[in-house]
Amino acid sequence: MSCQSNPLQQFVGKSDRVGTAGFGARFNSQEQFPPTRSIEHSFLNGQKNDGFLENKFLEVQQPSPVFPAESVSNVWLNQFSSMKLEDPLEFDNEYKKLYAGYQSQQTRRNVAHVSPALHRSIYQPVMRNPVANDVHFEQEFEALERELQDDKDELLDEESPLDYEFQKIASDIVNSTSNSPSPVSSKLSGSKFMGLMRDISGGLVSMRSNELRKSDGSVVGNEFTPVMDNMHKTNDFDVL
Amino acid sequence: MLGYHIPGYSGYGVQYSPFFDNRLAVVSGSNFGLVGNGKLFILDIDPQGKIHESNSFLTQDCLFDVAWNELHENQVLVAQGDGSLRLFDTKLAQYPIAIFKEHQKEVFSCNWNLLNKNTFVSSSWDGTVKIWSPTRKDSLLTLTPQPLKTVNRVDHSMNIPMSNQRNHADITRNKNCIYQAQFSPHDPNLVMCCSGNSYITIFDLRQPPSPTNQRNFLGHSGLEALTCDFNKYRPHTIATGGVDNVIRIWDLRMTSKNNSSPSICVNEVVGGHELAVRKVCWSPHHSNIFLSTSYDMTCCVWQDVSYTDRRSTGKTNSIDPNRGCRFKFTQHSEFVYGADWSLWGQPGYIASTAWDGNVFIWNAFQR
Repeated sequence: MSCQSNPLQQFVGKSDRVGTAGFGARFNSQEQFPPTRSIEHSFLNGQKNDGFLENKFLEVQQPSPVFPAESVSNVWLNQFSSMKLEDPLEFDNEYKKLYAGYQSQQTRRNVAHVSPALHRSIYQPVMRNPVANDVHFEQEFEALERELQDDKDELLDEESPLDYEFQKIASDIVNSTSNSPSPVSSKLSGSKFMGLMRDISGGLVSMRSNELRKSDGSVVGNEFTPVMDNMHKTNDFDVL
Repeated sequence: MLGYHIPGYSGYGVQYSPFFDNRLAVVSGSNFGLVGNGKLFILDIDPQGKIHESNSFLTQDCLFDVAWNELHENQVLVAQGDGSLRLFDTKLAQYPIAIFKEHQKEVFSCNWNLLNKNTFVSSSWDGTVKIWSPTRKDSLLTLTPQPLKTVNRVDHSMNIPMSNQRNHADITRNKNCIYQAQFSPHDPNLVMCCSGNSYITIFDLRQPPSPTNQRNFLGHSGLEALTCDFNKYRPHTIATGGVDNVIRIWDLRMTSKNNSSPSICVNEVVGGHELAVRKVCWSPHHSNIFLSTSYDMTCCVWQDVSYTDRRSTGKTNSIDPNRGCRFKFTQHSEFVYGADWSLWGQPGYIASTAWDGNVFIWNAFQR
């Protein structure tokens, strides 16, 4: 029995699905699956790599530029590379050449990877065409809500999350005692409390408004009686 | 053996009246404490040996502990799951005569001061111990054990079924929960309590609230210390029980003063119970006899072999083949929660109550 009633987990699950089936659908296939050439291989062998990178981990490490960054990055890189400094710890020229090649690949790749339309939708809240984007977002949210609602209905048909937790506690108690090979375990197996725990963990008995009820609605054990916070007035305290 | 069954309720605590030799107060929770009401039963034993209910009080929430008023023969105090303490008059029906509501969470224990008889103490899941006067609505003093490092065992963690009410679900996860607090029978200003963080704490009420008004030591290897009791004859001797299934006897003079080194008990009963020890209680008639109740559904009477004829023997219960067990009561069919020695008649009479809803009265020394 797994505990999937955590709403946060559900939401995270949903978000993942939306990420791939929803927004992800807007990438074209070429952008999603770049050619398979290893950056490490080309880097180590000093080869120029004009293609896209395979290493997806680098995607995460490199923040996507907020605006088309090629020109700006190049300006900065050019400025930096044109600087002349006398540094005794400087890397040798071969390394610097390779690193420059690596940098330029990264820049090109980042710009090419993110589609311009998505780029705008994420980083620029003011849209050129807000109506079209609103429609798109509404569709996405509706899909998300439908998924959540479907799952919620399924859950409500069976039991509430609190009941599920209660059931889990009961099954924990049953499991923890049934595994111990001690003489007391035989006594525990005949215990009415453990029997009730087994019924609860099996879903035969559940908690309904301060009472235990079977699946047919009949009350197990005592019925609940609300008790008011009334008090007797007494003079006994004067004596104490 | 005498018996009485309280149908639909699970016994949590029992205490003999200090005024009547045939009267008992029993507190209980509905449906094994799973959901529903609590109930206080006042039971009388008639000359024919039959037990019958003379009064009962239904409460909104489960009742965890009971203490008779040492100054008034008809008043009995209960600790309730909604954070309140209620004082009932056994001559009146239905409602309490006083409600003491300050604790933020479940009240697990209550104990009347045997020397300064106009105060009582309570301990709660909210991590505080409160001193009360029955004449005042508000508490006299709130004591909080110093925040101490919780020791986490890496081998296993064990959940004890304390109460299974939905709103009590976090009880065993709260390491600051104080399971029992008790006044010393030798000094009216000394209070002891035991907590979920395994520490036993002694408070001196004469000192102002500060870190110096308390001393504490680790009692049960980092697992919950569920119960503690002062020896009635030896002022420095206490017994504790916990989730490690062990009962330990401590000499307070030998406990570490600054926690720089772990305190070492003077005697212990290891392997006497198969599951957690719920309650320990020293005999009112002997200086080296105590009882224990456990989740293994038994109630045992032990002899502390480290002390005989008013002096320490230097022995421990490990040398005894039965670990010092003098009597094992096995009639209960569910977890045994409460037990109390009778102050009356021949020494050795014990009343015990369990989640099976039974109250049994038996003698530990009759063969």
